Amino acid sequence: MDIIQLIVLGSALFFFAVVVAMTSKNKITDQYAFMWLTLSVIGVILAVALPFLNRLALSIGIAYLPSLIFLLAFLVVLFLLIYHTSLLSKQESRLKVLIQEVGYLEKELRDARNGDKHP
Amino acid sequence: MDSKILIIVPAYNEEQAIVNTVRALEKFVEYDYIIVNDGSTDMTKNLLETHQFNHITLPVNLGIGGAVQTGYRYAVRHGYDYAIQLDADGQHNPEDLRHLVSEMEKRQVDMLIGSRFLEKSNYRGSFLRRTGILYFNYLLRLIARVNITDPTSGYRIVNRRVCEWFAVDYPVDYPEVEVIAKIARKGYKVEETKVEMNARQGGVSSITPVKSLYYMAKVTFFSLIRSYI
Repeated sequence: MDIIQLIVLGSALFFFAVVVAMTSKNKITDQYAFMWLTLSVIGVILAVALPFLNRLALSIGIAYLPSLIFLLAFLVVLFLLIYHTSLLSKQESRLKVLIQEVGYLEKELRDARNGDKHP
Repeated sequence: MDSKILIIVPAYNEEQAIVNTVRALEKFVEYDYIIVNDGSTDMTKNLLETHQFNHITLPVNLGIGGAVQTGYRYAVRHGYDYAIQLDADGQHNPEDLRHLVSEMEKRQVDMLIGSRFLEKSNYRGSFLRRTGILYFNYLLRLIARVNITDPTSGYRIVNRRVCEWFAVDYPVDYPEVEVIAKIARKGYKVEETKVEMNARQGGVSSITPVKSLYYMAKVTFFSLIRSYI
């Protein structure tokens, strides 16, 4: 195992450990924890399989493996961003309903206190 | 005339105009009104409370769409037959309310928009605003096959069927044109009738040139996507 592989493996294991620690302390909810655990496991597997990947890349005509990894990593990050935007939008629309309901309930309460002057 | 009618007045930082607007509305005893104070940071909330106007105060600012939708949810909950949107800044003339309601009942459409341009009126907007209005007119003709001379007018009346739709689905910002495209394409009847509009009594228009461009691009984009896909 050469130095670069050790660094990659170390980083992947560290990332995995961070995700496990955050999950155990409930800092990430289950749905996201599972996604990050899966990604970090894939990271560790890729780090271990680096020599094999290099040979595979050469055999299919890719002269420089990192370019492929960067492309894949970029696509994964892009996908995650869209996924998070969709989650954020969902939260926003839920929040909107809650804010409207809070306003409505506050009005009901006020009317009840004032003897229901309005419909 | 025994329809139950609600006037929805969205208000954001309208301390200068809100009292006059509501006082004018209160003359129409046959209609109910609800002011939706959209998280105003000025004295609007205090004024509404002091005068004991019928209002909902949203704890944070949701934007015009969220505020108006609150009104539609209220209309559905209280079983109103028609809901009328009316701006708090005094631009919409309450004298047109009865005209809107009687035309709505006569024509039996789903949405009736108060237009400044259907006949000659005293309204003169800026060049940018008139260009935008013309653009939206063409856009709606193209994608929804309706000819609306004043598509950005917020002065409009809808029936219960549309209220129920808007209570669950209403755009957050710049909703006026988009909802016309949406409901017209679904086969709902949208028509116009002539109204007069005044210059605003207080506050400033929220539309800047950059926002206008965003408005036009956003409405075009979403109207196209949500109408065809």
